[in-house]
Amino acid sequence: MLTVEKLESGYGESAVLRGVTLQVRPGQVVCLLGRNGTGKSTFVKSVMGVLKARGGTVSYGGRDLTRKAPGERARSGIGYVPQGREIFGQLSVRENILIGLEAARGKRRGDDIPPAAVERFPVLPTMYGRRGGDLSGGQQQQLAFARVLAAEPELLLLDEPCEGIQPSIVDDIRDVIRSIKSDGRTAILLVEQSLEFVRSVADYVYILEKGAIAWQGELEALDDETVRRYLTV
Amino acid sequence: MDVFWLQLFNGISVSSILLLIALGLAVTFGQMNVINMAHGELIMVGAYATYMTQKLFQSYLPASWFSQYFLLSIAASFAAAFLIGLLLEKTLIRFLYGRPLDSLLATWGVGLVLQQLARSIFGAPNVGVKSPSWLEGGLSVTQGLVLPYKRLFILALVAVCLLAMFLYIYRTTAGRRMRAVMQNRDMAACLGISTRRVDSLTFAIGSGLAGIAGCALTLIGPIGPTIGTYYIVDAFMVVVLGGVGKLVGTVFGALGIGMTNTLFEYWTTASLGKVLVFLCIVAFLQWKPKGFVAMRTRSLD
Repeated sequence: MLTVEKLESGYGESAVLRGVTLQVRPGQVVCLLGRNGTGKSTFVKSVMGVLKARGGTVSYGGRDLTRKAPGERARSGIGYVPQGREIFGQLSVRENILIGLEAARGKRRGDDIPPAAVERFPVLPTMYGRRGGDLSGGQQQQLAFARVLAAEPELLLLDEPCEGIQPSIVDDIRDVIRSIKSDGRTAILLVEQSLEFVRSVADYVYILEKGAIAWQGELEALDDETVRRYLTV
Repeated sequence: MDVFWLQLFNGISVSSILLLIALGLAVTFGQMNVINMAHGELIMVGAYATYMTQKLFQSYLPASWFSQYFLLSIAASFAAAFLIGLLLEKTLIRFLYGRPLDSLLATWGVGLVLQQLARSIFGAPNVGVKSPSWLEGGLSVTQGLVLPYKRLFILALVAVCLLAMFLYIYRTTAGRRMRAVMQNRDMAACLGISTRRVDSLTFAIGSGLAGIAGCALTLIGPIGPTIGTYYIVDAFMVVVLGGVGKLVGTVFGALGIGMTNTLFEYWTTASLGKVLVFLCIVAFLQWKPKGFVAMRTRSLD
């Protein structure tokens, strides 16, 4: 479904990714691991199109997206929850979710929030009128999920969804990711620090080091030796 | 006392025109970080569109219809400026997003070209637009205080534009997209918004508003190729003073500059008044560098 080949990308003069090849199949949960600064977020941003690729290709569902704008990638079915959530602070919670509907391909435009988007977050409908910027970090993270789920994406890019939020909500978010996985309709590319959580959801694992894939394999193959070598700080 | 009230009314009237001009500037500057020096020439486009509508009515339509031309000319001036704005955005501005200094120079050049174009087509001297008969005269409040209908009409026109803008930005889907792009361009794009389309539309609407301002200016005096340059500096002051990103800020900015301008000129002289206004602005920006209304949100992490 998502096929990334020899992707090169970076900021300004510095190259961060040096030829990353990765695949996500429909319904699969793929985890991208690596120490800080190895290029995990850069990779996700390049897949989404926020950063322009300098080499290689990104294709999705057989279509080459390498030169397409982020908006078009979103409309073709890729949903993105960025690191730091990036909620529209001045828009109401309701409006934030409605913006998420922009990516819905024709079918679900308009001013109605699809119930499926918020069914996992019962707290959100109670604060539709509040500004996104006034929510707590954990609530914003839930909003970021509801916003992206509104368009029913077939692939979710999650960039450290549990970073920097209170522990009680971390568990909620993890339950949400598990429930998306068990629905089986949405594939997930997950960047995550917690190995314990990765072990509970991942199907396939890639490990980045110095902007290249250093290790890949099924979850079962991820042994302690590999973890020590590539992930222990 | 009547003179004071009249000055106050004039102040509000000047503010309203400034507001109309600054609205367009505020959205383009706020959303795209482009300083559009050609905005003044879009005012001129609107003014000449009104002039053309008048000519057409005089030449081709029965004289009894003439008094109605002005209503049509409002639409015509909006449409003309909207289209030229759209063309400008598609061919030039979109290459300059996020580069305020480059955009300033480039659009200034475009402004000069447009001015010269107007000189070639309509001639260098100012032309007059005949106001419709139903706007002659004024409303007598007291013996010495007469409020001209033209000024009242402009006030109403600005109020309608402001309301329309407010509804557009805060109540429609397109407005929601616009606000999302203004706040976080990258994220808006990642959620499926075509930022390019939002940008062109926003720029064109801002230009259209300048066109309506040009139409309103034909009621006040003769129009010429440089009509826009008289207003553009003040309009930029309004944007800076009001703060970027909120309509309310622009309203306050326009009222602030329009009122102080008129009152200072009344109390002192025209040039000294202007100096005092600029001194006030400099002092105010020292105190509040982001203007009246700055975008604030709860900062996290």
